[in-house]
Amino acid sequence: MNTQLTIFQVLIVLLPLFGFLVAILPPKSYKKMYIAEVGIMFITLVLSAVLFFMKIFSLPDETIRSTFTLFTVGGSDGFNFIVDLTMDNMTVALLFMVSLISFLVHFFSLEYMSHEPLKNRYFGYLGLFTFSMLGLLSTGSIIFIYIFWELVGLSSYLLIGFWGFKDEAASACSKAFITNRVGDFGFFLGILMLFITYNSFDLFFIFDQIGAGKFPLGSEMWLTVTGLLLFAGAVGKSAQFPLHVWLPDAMAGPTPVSALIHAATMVAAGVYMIVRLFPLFTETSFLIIGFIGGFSALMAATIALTQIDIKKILAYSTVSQLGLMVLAVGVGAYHAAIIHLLFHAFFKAGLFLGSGAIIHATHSQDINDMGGLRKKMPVTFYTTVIYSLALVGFPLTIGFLSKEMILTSSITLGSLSGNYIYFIFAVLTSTLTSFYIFRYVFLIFFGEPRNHHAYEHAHDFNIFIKLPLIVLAALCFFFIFTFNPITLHGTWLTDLIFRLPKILLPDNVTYSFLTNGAEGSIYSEVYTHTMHASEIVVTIISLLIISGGIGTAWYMYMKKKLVPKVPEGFLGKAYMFSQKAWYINELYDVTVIKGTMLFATLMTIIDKYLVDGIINLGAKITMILGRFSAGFDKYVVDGFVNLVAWINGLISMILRKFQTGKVQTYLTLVMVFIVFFVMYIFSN
Amino acid sequence: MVGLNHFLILTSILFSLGLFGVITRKNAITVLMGLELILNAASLNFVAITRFTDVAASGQVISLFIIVLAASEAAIALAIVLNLYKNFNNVNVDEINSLKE
Repeated sequence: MNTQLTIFQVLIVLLPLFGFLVAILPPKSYKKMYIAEVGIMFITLVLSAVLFFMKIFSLPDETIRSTFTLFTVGGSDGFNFIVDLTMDNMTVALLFMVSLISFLVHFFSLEYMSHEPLKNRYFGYLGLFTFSMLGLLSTGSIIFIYIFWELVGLSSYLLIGFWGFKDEAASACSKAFITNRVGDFGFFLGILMLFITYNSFDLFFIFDQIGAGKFPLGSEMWLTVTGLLLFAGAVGKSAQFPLHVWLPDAMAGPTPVSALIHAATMVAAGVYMIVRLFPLFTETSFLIIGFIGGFSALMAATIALTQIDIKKILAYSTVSQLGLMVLAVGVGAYHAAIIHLLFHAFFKAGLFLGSGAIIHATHSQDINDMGGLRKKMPVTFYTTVIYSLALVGFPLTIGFLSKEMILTSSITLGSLSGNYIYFIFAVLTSTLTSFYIFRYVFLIFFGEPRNHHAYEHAHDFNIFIKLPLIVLAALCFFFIFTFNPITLHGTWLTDLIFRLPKILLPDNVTYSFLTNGAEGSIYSEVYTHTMHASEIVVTIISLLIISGGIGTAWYMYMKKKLVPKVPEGFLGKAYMFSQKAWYINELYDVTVIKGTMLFATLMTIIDKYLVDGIINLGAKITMILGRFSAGFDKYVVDGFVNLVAWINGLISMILRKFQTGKVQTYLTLVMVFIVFFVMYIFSN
Repeated sequence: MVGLNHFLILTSILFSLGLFGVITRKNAITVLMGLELILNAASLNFVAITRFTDVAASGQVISLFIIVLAASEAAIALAIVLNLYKNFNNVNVDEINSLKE
């Protein structure tokens, strides 16, 4: 059974890679290869569904690992480089989610990219991305996580820059790549820290060692440092402050790509990574992680309030929701983070695909070109409303379940430790979320059309656009996942799929409410108790903020019929502060970029005057030497050679007289010399 | 009494005449005739020396060999002369000086 599941897993991971090769390798005349790639994605989806149910129903308690040694460094007792394939319930669930969304995005792209000449390349890149993402989820070795981490970064780079003829896209893909480099540098340092301490990349082995009390460099502080270095990778990939700047720019890529990579899967890889490494974080690391997540969530939500590019609204919303997940990890709410990751993937991918449908219909991304589209695009309208309700956490949607978990865990941490800042972050973010997403809905679908030309041509498209939207909208209802519309605690999602890791840090290092039980790590009784007690409060608060946010949006954009423009006075300054994304890009322009440019200019000057000067001096000396040896060559060496030649010529002038070409002359000469020779012999 | 010296003087004169013919004549045929004289002088020399000294009879053998050699030489040389005539349209050795180039 184990072997069977492993074979399934290998197939699921490698099939998209095969799809990539099928789409990318044939010569240009094979125009339809991308259809094969979509077919391969469908097979991947079916296989991952089969794998999911097989794993859950037949071996729910096991972590299936298969490893083999690829090569050994340094003799028989040296270091083994091990290829690692790991599968637990979290892996199979996320594999299923990724291949489902990937397939829906492929399907959507068939219509969305129908006028694109380079379809093979586009679908090939999507296949490469899917392969890398599935590989990232399928391994328990930190170095393989890192390898696939870079591969998803690469495919993201390729797809953001797919329309690289546009300056915007060309610079956006470089920005995404370079910004991620900063985080990945920290990630790699963290991996090296782990490696020099444990001489292994195997996460489960490392967790065991940590559980047994072996820390990097022997101290808890260095464990915190290692954890934060690893977290730096997640900050880059999951677009957290201060490395979030690449994600909004990444919207220059095709919209289905934004749905797949920059909303549902790749950006969630950072959250997945810190969830995977959950046993590695000390209480200090958790607090810092939670703060960064909360701050990013709040900041991005304030920015999303005033954006006028519909994809930018969703991009900042993604940063904000990822911030909430990171915050959930930070408050020790393992389940909340990973379940919100899973649910967010569905409704955010749906929102992006919906925005793709709108862009496809109106050929504009400016919210000022929209308005009144609900009559023209009913499917897009109804599905977008469902996604938005899920995003704000409206009851009966999956968003309600996961967001409530995050709010409950953060308020529980607050009442246990007195530190309510995370709860405040989460509540403010949720309030702003319900405002900006309904601003988005009202401005696009309600009111009078602001651009009549775009309005006239707008319509719902064929099945390729509609089906993914409907499937994702159906997934937004609670009954797909649980029969209890109020809470997820104690359901199969928390108890079976996303179980706490078996190993935890020793006491006094991690949160005190995380303890080691008989079956592995559990939350302490006090924690569970406080959590249940606060559930009702949180539900009330959450309903209040949702209705408050939606109500404000309704009042401003439906009743008053406001349109997005800069208000007067102090409010205008605040508005611009939000719309310009807190001027962080400008700040980076004047600090990091200007600094780099200044440094480069300095280096140019040094290069030009110092390095070039030395080289030119060398060249001049060489030239003088060269001239000297040229003279020597010309007059001494050549003179000698010419002298020899001249002497030879002189001698041959004489000798050639004897060469008449007549046989008789030669014979005469021979005879004369014979006579002299004989006379010489006889004279002695 | 005719002695060895007489023969040697005769062969010397014969040799010189042959050499003179080879060097001075223009016609290739005449040059060949001079060559025959030189060969005959050498042949006579061998015979005479064998006759007047008590070395073995090998001198006579060599002179017989020279006669055979002269015959084959004449055959080859006349073939060469014929080829010369074909190539240069005359047999005048003065004018055949393409060795010079």
